[in-house]
Amino acid sequence: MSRKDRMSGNQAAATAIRQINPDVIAAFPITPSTEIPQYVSSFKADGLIDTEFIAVESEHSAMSACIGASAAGVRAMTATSSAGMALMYEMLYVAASDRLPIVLTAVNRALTGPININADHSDSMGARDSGWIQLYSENAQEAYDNLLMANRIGERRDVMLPVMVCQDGFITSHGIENIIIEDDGEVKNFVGEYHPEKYLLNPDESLAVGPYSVSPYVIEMKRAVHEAMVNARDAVKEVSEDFERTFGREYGFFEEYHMDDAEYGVLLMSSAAGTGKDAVDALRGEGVKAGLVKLRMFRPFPADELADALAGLKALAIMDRSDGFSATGGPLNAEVRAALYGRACAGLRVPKAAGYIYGLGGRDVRVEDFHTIFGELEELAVGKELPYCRYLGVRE
Amino acid sequence: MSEKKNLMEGIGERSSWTGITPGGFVYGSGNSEFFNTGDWRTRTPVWKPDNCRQCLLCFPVCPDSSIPVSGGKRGDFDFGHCKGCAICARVCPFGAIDVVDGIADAREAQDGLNGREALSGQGGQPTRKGAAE
Repeated sequence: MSRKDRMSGNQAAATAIRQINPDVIAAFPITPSTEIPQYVSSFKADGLIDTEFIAVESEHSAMSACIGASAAGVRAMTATSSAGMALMYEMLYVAASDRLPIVLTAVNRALTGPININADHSDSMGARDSGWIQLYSENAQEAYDNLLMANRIGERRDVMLPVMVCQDGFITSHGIENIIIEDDGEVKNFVGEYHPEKYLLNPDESLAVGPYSVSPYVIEMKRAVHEAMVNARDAVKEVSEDFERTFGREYGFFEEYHMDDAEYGVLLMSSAAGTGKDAVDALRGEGVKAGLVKLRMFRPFPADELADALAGLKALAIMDRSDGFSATGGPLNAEVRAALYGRACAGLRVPKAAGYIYGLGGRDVRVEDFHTIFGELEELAVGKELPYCRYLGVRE
Repeated sequence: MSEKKNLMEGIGERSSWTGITPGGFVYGSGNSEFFNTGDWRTRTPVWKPDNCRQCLLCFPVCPDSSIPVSGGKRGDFDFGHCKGCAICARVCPFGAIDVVDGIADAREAQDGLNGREALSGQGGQPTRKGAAE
């Protein structure tokens, strides 16, 4: 039986880990994800899990230990944020290249410079080209649900890639929310056991993992990761559909909120979507055909599906919680516009678009900010020029 | 050279991206012996059996296990992994090992000396002539 509870995003993630009962957790504390390994070590001390908890000396070591454990043939998980993830970067690429389905619960926090502990997406966006599957969560429930699905997605035989489940630091990780927690046994059945085809601790088959690759092999190996990421689309779909059949909550590549007849829409990820939905509700009350798309799966990027979902809009706001410093906006702005380009080339209708960078270093994005954006979208639709990308709420 | 099975047989620099192992895993162990690196050498030792007293000072100093010993006697070089470092020639007290430049020259030299295809039978290694050119 599922039960209603109230907990923070960190508690939700730790609860998911308790129910998954991975073989190895290797983690190093960093705000705001510190509580996750802290709760997990309590579960271990209380005998609720039989996970091997490795208290490592850095995040580079945390990911390295996960790689070793996963290569040995077991489920390995970790948690991190911000500079901790940055310290993992080298090993994140190794995990993906070695095709090890490690699961990382990421609590998004601004990457240092200037030092700050609050939410934005600069940490996981820096890892977007690493070969990790990335799922973004609006609230504690989604962080919990995405984690329950993550192992199965990454472990599918034609995928074998690591998975990162992201939630916003403090806003989600420390906010207490209502949540539905599923039955331990049902979660165990849903997640299933992990039996890799090849693994280091198999006494019958010796194996070398992560060997040096000379140039005649590297491009072939990257091509194989590319294909695995293509297959991950289907894996996310398949596991999400099974999740809905089992637990009743529906997850797609993205969530469409009032998009059926929408003329003005915003696209964004994670916690600010809740604020955006409130603005959409208010605008709908005033007769404005406002809608919202919340992207859940950033890697692999569902370009065609997104382009189709956005095609009916007159004007679209693409909201990035990090700046890629390309001088043309954040990564979502670039990738969503690229997705729409295919439609435009085919002579199909595409919305006018404006990019926004918002919420850096935990800056609040308020319902009024969304009203401002929707107001600008109405002007954009009737011909007013807007910048390709601009900072929202910055003091001018 | 070995009766061990090469589990990576057929996987090589001509394999398509679907033909290599997931993650670049290398199946099996101790399989560096299947990877012939002898074509890296620019000098080649030439064994002169007539001068050799079988003192066996040479084989322990070879960094690439390229001097096979059987029944207490050394045989001709295994060129599959010989880099031509010439340490064996340096330690030989009897002038039983010459060192010549290149690979193809060595073959000719050895053919001349021993009257046989001393460098043949190194599976997977490019032809000496091709490598030298």
